[in-house]
Amino acid sequence: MNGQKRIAIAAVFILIVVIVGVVIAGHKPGVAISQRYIVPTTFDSSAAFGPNTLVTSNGQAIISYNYVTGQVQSLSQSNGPENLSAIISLSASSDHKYVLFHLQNVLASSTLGAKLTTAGLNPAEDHWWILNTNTHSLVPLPDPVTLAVISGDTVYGLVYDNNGIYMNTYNSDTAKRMNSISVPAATNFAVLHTGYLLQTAAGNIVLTKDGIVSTQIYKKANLVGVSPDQQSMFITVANNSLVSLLQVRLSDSTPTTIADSVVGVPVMNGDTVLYGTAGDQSSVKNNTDLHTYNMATGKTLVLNFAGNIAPKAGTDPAPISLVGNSTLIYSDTSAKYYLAGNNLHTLPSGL
Amino acid sequence: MRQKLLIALLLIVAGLTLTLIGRQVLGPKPKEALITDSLQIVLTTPDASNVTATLNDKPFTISSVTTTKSLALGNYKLSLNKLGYTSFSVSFSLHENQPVTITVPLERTSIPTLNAIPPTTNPDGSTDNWTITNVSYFYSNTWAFAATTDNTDSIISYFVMHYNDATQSWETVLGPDSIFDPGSVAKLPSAVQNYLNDNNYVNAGD
Repeated sequence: MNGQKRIAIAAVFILIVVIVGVVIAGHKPGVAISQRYIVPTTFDSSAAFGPNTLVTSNGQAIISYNYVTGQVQSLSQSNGPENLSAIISLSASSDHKYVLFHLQNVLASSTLGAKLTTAGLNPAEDHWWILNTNTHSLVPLPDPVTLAVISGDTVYGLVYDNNGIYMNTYNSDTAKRMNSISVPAATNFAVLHTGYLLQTAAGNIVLTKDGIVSTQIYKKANLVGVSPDQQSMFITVANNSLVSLLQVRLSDSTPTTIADSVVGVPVMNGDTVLYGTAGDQSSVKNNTDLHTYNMATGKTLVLNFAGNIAPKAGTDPAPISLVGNSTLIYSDTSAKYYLAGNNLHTLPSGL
Repeated sequence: MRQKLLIALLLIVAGLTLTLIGRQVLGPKPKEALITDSLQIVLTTPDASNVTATLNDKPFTISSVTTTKSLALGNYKLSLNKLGYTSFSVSFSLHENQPVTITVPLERTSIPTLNAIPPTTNPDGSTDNWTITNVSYFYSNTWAFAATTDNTDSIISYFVMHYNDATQSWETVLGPDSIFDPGSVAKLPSAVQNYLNDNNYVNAGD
């Protein structure tokens, strides 16, 4: 073999290695999404509720829906037509005993309206409610709560009144206020074993145990949620017009970038985050891509919709909630809501 | 022998030259920078009047409801007093890249109530006396919005009042008026502003 031949073989070998490397680097691991159903707009407020199950409202009652078996179960007594159709947000306790939701447009003459009047509250204003799924009892929070979170058996509510800003705690069965501390002005918060993560009115994320001493963890960010082990938080930060999704270690504020060019608001379910990224504008597809990031495995997966259900170009699917590992609810620019995943049951009539 | 001396001399000159060049390139060894982070103190009261404070037992100036200062990393104790409020003290640590905000939850030692509005004098020299029909309080009863009626003609007028801790009396800030000027309202503490705006007591203009 002469020298020229050897050089040619080496060059071809290097070229193959480079091509293989580029292909591997460019390949995005994904998960196939084979089914999709249009769901009612009430699914805008929904949450995971155990294996293959989500909790939402059908307009008349809070329901659980097993999207694999198709079983629908009413968790609250029916409160009359359209009485639960205007839920702004909804979440469930980890043991599924309680469902917390924020409701507006309650008719004064309805069952819920009467409960508010009895409690000395104005039915014309929006209120937070706690549903006990065992007893089906519904109780409203007594204060003008702007944002509430359920953690364990306790509901935490952020209250603004004439005297200041407070983080109140409420008994989940009775909605009776148990404790109240003064906190800095906040627009979002998460509950930790050791205190609270607050997104302040100035847009900073601070950690506070008592509402008095607040340590800044990250500047100018939006709080997405806290990891189940409470060692880190997920935030989005804007750098010029680009938004990034970061995982930040709470002990020393060390950030790790999960994704850039994030669009929409990421949502969490346990140790998984669902988020969208801007599509390639030069491509015909030109659509938001949806991804999941699992913090336990450290893996990011792109959701590959089957050809017949792939979101149309420019419809920009936006995450609403992640109700299973790869079962999600999303909306698009047509203002429709979709339940997407695999092994899904046909949507029952009347849902 | 002469050769060895010459070599030694050359080495010394080379060494000195390198040292000088090195200093010019690298510059003088910098002093160790003091690592600091910021402390922000936020009062939950509408103003910072009559406040005295110490930080680690040294006088610390607080002249507005939000005070920011850069401090060396370490442990601190903030003590604060405001006339009419219970004293406050808190210990905290300042770590690198983790600025701290102290939200001072001052509580009133006594809660003042608004029982009467001082009489007002009209341009013609006559006096109006006011009967309070309703009061809304703000900031632990140190600010109040009062709805009143005129004792002579029963016209409803509104007042914004502030409790002066130094004189221990209520002072009229706005009013009497049936609706307030937006420019005057803008100077009030935020909770009072919000209340007046939410309840349509501010002139919306044309």
